Amino acid sequence: MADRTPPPRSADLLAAYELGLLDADDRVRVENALAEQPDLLDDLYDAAPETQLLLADPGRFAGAARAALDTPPRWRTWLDTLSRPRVLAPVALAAALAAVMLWPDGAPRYLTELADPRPLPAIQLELRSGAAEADAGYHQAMAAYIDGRWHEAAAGFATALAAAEPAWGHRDQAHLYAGSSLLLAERPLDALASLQAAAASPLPPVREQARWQLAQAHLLMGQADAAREHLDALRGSPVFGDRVTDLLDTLGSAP
Amino acid sequence: MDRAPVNEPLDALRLRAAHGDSGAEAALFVDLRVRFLTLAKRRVQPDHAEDVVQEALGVVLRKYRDLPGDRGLLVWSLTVLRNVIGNHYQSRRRDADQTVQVDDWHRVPEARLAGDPVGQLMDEQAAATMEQAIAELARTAPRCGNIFANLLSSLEQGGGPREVSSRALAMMQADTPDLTRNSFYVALHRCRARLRAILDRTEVAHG
Repeated sequence: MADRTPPPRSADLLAAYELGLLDADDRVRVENALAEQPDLLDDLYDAAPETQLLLADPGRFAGAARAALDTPPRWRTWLDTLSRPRVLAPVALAAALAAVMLWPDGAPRYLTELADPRPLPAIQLELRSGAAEADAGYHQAMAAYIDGRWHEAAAGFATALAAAEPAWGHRDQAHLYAGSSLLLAERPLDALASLQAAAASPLPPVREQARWQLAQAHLLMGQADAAREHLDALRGSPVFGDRVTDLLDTLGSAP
Repeated sequence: MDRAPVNEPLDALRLRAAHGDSGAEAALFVDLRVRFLTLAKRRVQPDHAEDVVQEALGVVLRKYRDLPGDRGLLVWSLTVLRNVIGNHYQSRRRDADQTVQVDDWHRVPEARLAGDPVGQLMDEQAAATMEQAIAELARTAPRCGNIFANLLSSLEQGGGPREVSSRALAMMQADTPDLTRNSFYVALHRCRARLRAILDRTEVAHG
């Protein structure tokens, strides 16, 4: 079949390049792009050991992928069990009772497994002597965040926000990190308000990070539609675009 | 970056160099040096970057002729550079306390990946982690699982780049007849990014 799709960007050929699939012309194109774009070269460098591992024993890893594909997801196994006549009635009754008792806290597992609430990049800035109370609180909270003390970090950012003047320069970031801390502390419901405040930021990096974290929070709570809404808003993001497309694809194929 | 665009893949230069073309070998190492310096300057202190690059180029020079023909030189040589940088951090850590700059703090765990690249490849733990990551990818994103299963099977069967990619594409087209080669490559790139994200998460979880 003739390939009439537009030629991919060099960056989109990187996986095909590292796995040795490209013809000479495309290899030259990618190698020239790697020479011009240090960030692209960084990607190749970071992934190099994994690539070598994949190439060292491709059959083994193909087998791992096939085995996982051939194993029905847990929800399908449950459905198969449910469909047996002997267990259908009592199990359906039990499920109905469980739904009444647990909803809305019992989030579907396939959605929670899609969530990826990882920590945000964080750098500790130097605190000047005589810093305002909000700045000092923010500094302490960020130290807790970098150390992975999520509850302490969330409380610290909240304290900093409470002490801050209305025009405080770190307000949006404090909301973002407070929300992220709560998310990482497995309190997605509590994280929503902070993340929504950060999502209204005029700063695109803060706004986009907040949207992404909101999507993760809704996935953790089993709210696929709300997650989709935030992901849709990130489709054009140069940072999140690819991940968003993948996640939306996966959400689309989820049960 | 101080390097003019070229019209010959690095692996073509490598093959000519391995067959005794000294001009090709010189051009190859000039090219690699520029790329290595770009990476090293982002990872070690500026006055150490040139030393690290020279050491890595020395390893590549000693070993590149033994590289199997179907292995890409650049990806392999970046593994060498990575290990040299890892060793550099280890030796500095032995000599003194951390001198990692603030914006490099998150790179420290990566620098721990020191050692012989061949030995690292054979590390069963790394392979087991990769197996688990690929299985997780296949469970959470079946399309990506299919792409990797077909592509890796095709790589296992061997052949040149066109043969490997055409065979994998044909397997994918059994389920998705409209899939083009370009779309396949783009989908592969996205799935590769997902796999990396799973591996990163595993690395963080396991320290």
